[in-house]
Amino acid sequence: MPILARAAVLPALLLLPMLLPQYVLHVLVFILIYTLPVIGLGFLTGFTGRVSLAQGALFGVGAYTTALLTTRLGWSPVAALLPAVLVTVAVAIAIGGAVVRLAGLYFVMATIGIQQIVGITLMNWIDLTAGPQGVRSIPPVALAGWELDSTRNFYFLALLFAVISYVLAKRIIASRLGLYLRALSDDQLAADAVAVKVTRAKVTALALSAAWAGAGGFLYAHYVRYVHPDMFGLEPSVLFLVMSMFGGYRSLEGMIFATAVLESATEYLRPFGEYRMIAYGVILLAGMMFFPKGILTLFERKARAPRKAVGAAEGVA
Amino acid sequence: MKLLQASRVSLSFKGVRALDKVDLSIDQGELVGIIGPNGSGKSTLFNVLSGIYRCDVGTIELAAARIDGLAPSQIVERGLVRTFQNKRLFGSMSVLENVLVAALKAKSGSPLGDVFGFSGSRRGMAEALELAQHCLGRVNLSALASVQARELPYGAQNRLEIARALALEPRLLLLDEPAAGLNPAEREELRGLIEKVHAGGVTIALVEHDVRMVTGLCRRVIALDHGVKIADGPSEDVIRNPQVLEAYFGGATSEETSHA
Amino acid sequence: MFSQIVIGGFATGCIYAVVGLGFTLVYRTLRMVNFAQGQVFMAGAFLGLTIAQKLPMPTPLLLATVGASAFVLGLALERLIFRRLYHNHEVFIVGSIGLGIILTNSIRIMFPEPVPFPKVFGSEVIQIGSARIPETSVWIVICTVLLVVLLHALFTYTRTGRALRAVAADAETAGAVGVNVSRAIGLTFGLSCAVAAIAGVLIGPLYFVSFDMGDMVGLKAFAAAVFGGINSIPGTILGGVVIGVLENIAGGYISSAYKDLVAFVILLVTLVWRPSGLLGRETPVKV
Repeated sequence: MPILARAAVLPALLLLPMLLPQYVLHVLVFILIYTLPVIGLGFLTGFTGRVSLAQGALFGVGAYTTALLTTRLGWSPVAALLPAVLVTVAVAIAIGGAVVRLAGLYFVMATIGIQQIVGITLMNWIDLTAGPQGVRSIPPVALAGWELDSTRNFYFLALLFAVISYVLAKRIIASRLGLYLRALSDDQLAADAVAVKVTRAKVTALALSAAWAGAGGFLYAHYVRYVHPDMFGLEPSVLFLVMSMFGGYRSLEGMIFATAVLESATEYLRPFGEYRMIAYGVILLAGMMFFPKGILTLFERKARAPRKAVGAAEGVA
Repeated sequence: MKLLQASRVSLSFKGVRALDKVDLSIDQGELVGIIGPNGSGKSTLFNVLSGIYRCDVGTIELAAARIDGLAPSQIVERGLVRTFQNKRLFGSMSVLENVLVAALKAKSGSPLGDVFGFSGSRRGMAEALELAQHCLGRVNLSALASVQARELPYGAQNRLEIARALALEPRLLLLDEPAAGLNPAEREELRGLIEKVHAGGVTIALVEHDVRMVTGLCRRVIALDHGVKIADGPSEDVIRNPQVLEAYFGGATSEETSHA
Repeated sequence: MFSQIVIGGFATGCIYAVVGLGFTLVYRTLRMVNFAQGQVFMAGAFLGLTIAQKLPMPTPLLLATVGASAFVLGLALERLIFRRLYHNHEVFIVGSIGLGIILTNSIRIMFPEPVPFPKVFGSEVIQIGSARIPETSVWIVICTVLLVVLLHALFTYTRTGRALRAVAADAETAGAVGVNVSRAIGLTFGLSCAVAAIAGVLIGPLYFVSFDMGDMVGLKAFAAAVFGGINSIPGTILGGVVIGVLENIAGGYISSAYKDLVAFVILLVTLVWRPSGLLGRETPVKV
């Protein structure tokens, strides 16, 4: 994106609450919240070459952790952020740490197991989670006495989180970890042969994806102020996966764009009940059939002229 | 000084003897050729030396320290580097990035440091970048630094593989058929490159089908057949060794070897 | 009590085994996992329901009809949809999940509430020792055995079956010796859908049928296939039965709440300790 456009984005985003109707802002907040688990998942899908169907569950772990700490133990939400993230990372590493070294398909299978185990536990460990009743009356985030209990106010918090998460993710991808992950997803054997610590890199990617999911869950819990196991099942997992794949495997901007588009579509279609879900299934299926490398790559390919190494450019003896 | 000492290395796959009690010793500073017909175990030997396979029997020592049983990345850290016969490049990454990944080996810093700009990490990354660019220069790929690896023509891919190996600052470099698929001009270029690298102080073991290249470069040649070492000595002697001729040609005369 | 739990578990286990067979058949041939399998199972149940209500017929004919319809559906789906998803695992998985969502919600529109299934296997309760077993459960086991025998016969004694096995073992070589690989893949899909749909009819009378019954069964059948060996047919059957029995035991003696956990804990443990499953074979990686 040209520099001028990039510079204009942030002030524009800050002005939006004054310009947009409540309903649209509400959707925008969800979009901002969801960019966190989606970017987190992007560490695994785009950069490590792994598909995970557990991101929805991990998102739920973050949400439940903060919900329980704030409602049962009376913690202030701000204090609950770090535990929410840490617990999510701990759960992910504990159950998933051993499987991240497995081949791609086995890893997906394992994440399905993780998703189900977390879901069933959330629903049935009544003493801890109140099971099917869910956790209600989650307090709003309060900063310096200012309670973020309206969409307009929460928007700024969500925007802050989204911006920080984006910048942080960009820097991580540009770091040597980003190099290692891309290398091992291209050719794991070769990565090993150039002294990349493959397992360590994969576990780190898993931890990062969980951290982002946990932070997103934290935001979600304090916006919606009610959590229930059904919110964190296979559906959000699939949704996050699609959002992270649709925009082009390794493009953060693409993921954000896909999140915005798909979440808007979901909201717009919400009144249509089952038809919404059918439309959603069709989008998934059609997307995979016709744009397996993500929709944004279509635009990328047209914008950039193909870089083919010409024989003449090759070094001459 | 003995750099590599492999003793009685044996490996079987489902009853097939891929390597049978192979002894191999390489001194520091040597440039050794390894030849043998297809299926003789040359690549398998490299796979065992570099840790991809674990031998059933035998020991391998690098600078008098045992390396058999270690993971490939550990062996690389000790200075034993190999290239792959079927170029295993990081296709989606640029030429420079391919070498940079390797150049980061043993450099200071960490991902965390990179993200927050710690000085140790910045220094390490800068050193790695410099090393990577230097290696690209040595193989004549500097002009293609930002090209995606999968878009490279074959000869360039070959050179990239070598550049990446050099960036690991090897003590012992195993080159697995680096000339495969190259035309005569490119082979000459490769020959010159290998000589340059060798002259720079790297011990090299070269597996090649192109017997002429091997004899041109290497004073000492080792021949394998069906997993067994059948010859080990000065190159002119080895290529005239009757057992070697039998293995390659089934009993041809010494005249025919010069056409290899 | 114990024998009742075990036999009951055996019956559900057979269902997991049969649906799991669908996963295995597709995986062996394509090395991909079709996540719409559970939904095909559910659709088969509703198809059986509709036919049984509108066009009453002897049960074996009902099973055959549902099986045949699902077979044709499987052929069509492969040709129109699955064929375009073979790029890589991720695309195939997400695409098949999308298909599953379409199936679930299409049925949901027609049948928003759980519906009872006609007792096509009779409604007697059979006494085996101290256990009181619904007649349906016995029929489930019998039909599963028949199905396995039929499949075995198909794969061993018919040319088509042997062709399917050849493609599963090594598609390239099979193609080279004249097997129509693309047709074999289509037939495999047809078979996998047929068995899943038949399983749907088998279990129908035991519980109500509802649009979401495919989700859990599909996932557990998947766990069963992985546990037993996702490229092994006997392994999948074994895996299904073991999970069915174990989860019933856990449900009866530990807690009914966590019954569902059994399948997924087994899945994870399998993947960590022996990813190829009980009876599966490792596929070697070449350098």
